Amino acid sequence: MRPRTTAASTAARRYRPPKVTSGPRFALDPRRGIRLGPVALTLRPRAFLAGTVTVAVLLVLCGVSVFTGSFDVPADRVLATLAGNGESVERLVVLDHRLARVLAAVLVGAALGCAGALTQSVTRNPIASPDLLGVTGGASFFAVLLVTQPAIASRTGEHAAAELLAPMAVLGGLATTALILALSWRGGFDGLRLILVGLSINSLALSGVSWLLTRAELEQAQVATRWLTGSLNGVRLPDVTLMTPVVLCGFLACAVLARDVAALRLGREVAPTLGTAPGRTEALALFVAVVLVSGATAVAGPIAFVAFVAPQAAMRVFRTPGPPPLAAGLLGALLVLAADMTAQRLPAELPVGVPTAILGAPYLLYLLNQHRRRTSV
Amino acid sequence: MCEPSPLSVHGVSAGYGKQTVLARLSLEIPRGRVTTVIGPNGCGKSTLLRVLARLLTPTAGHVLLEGEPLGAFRPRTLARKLTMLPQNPVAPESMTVSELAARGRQPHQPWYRRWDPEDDRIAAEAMAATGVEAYADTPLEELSGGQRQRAWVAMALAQQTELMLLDEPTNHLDLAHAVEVLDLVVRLCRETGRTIVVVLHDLSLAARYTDHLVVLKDGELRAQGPPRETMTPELLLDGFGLRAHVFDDPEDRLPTVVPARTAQRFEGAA
Repeated sequence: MRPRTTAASTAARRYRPPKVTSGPRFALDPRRGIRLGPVALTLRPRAFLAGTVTVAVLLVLCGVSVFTGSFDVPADRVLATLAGNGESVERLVVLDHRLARVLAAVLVGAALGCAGALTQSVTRNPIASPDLLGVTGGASFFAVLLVTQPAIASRTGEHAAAELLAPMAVLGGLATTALILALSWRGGFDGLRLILVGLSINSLALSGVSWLLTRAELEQAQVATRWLTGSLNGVRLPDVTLMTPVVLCGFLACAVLARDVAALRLGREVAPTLGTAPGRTEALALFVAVVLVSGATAVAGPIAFVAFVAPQAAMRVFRTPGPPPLAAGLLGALLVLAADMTAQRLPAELPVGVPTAILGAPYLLYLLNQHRRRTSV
Repeated sequence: MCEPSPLSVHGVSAGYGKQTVLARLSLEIPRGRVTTVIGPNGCGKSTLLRVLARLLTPTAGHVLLEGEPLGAFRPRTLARKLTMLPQNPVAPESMTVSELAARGRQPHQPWYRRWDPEDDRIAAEAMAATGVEAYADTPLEELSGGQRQRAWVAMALAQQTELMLLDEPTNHLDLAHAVEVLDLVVRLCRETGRTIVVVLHDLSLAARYTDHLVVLKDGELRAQGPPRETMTPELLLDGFGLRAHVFDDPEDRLPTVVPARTAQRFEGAA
């Protein structure tokens, strides 16, 4: 059939989009998706399997963490304590020590993984995780500035400086992000500029931290250094109650933003044609990411690597076209929990920031290698 | 042809920073036709398309979509009426053709409902119409340039918009693949009554695959009309600085542009 250039014979018909009939209230298509009432989502077999396995392993690790530990509590007593009938020692061990720590690990990991996926998606660059972009660096600088100021440290007593660390870190994270955004803004958002400015600010912040540490009193330097490595050692239940709404709101925001973040992966030129306003989506996604990271940093200090590795791993394990925020949250939770359990069970107790890198880095290298083999065949 | 234009430009100026690319341009896109925009490099073809798709806000004048100002539409409402395929779009690594086509349904979905059997059916139809259904589960980077371009058209098609704007859809394609894409464009227009605006570089292809030709020069409208009347040697010399022969090819009886021998130019000048 050959195209006719003069179409006078073919009268122009008005375009009418076909009528969309609504489907059944519940539908489960094993290949494509699931629907319940008005809510529906795509569900590829690969993602479903990966999600189920991740959640199952996460639950098993949570169980192991709560039921075992250096202080021996029988399983039936653990259950009784969880139900609210424990003695004070049991409550201290099971609730304050084990449960708080497990929940904190899961929440912190979820927040970091999710935040990393958001920044990586928005900038379309796997390097753009919050800890490399200077958000955590800025948070650390402000926190250490506070701890090592003799005026503040002496005035507020022995532990007060440590307690002020968290809010100061959140403030620092937000302030640093605002600075990075302001410096990288040039008539619009530019992912690569954001990364380059972020990297510079990050190295500035880190050298600032080192400078402060060399000038600090030994005792204050110790407090600061312990916090800087990232640790769940001192976590208590109130920290968890602080973190829970932050992570839940973050996850909800991710679910609402998911569609627009996915559109942005096709580029800033294509996204608007799909009804996504790029600037608004980028600003919202960055804001959610910074709040999540700040919350996690306030609870556990700067835990390196999770926000970078979890989204990249999730992308390959769940086989998605970009770093998936919610799946990255799941893998982040798994990574931090596994790392913390390893750290606790080693002869010399390590801060959690060390094993996250030891577990995460080889795993990512393995996945990268797998991926290269698959595409080169 | 007396139907009101679905998309019209009224005295629009637009540019980037201080540089003005379009100067007080007025234009009506005919409904249910293939309109092709041609012009020398830097004449504002892509800028015009970006203004029409609201990717660029004009500094003066206004664009009307179905008689209403383009700026008044909410982003998702606009994305149900009009879509644009930019030059050389890049998909994320390992994205499959069916995933790309499914994205086209996004403007029709609320955030909590990201899947629907109906959406699947429409995306599948779009893939069938563009002939990429055989590659539904193939990652885009494993396809040829022409197949990849058709996959992007499938996404735009799944959006079910009346208006489609395509910015150089044949860029970097060899002749066979370019023809493949343009055949598809004409077929979509004829079969579904869509209004399609295409920016093209190749003058011969533009003359053959168009109902309405729009010629820009230096950000201004140089000529417009049916290709047979518009595409003349005078226009090519004046608009493009190109000395060329225009004639109907003996087989298809369609206008064809062939550059004149360079030597003639010197003889003419002398």
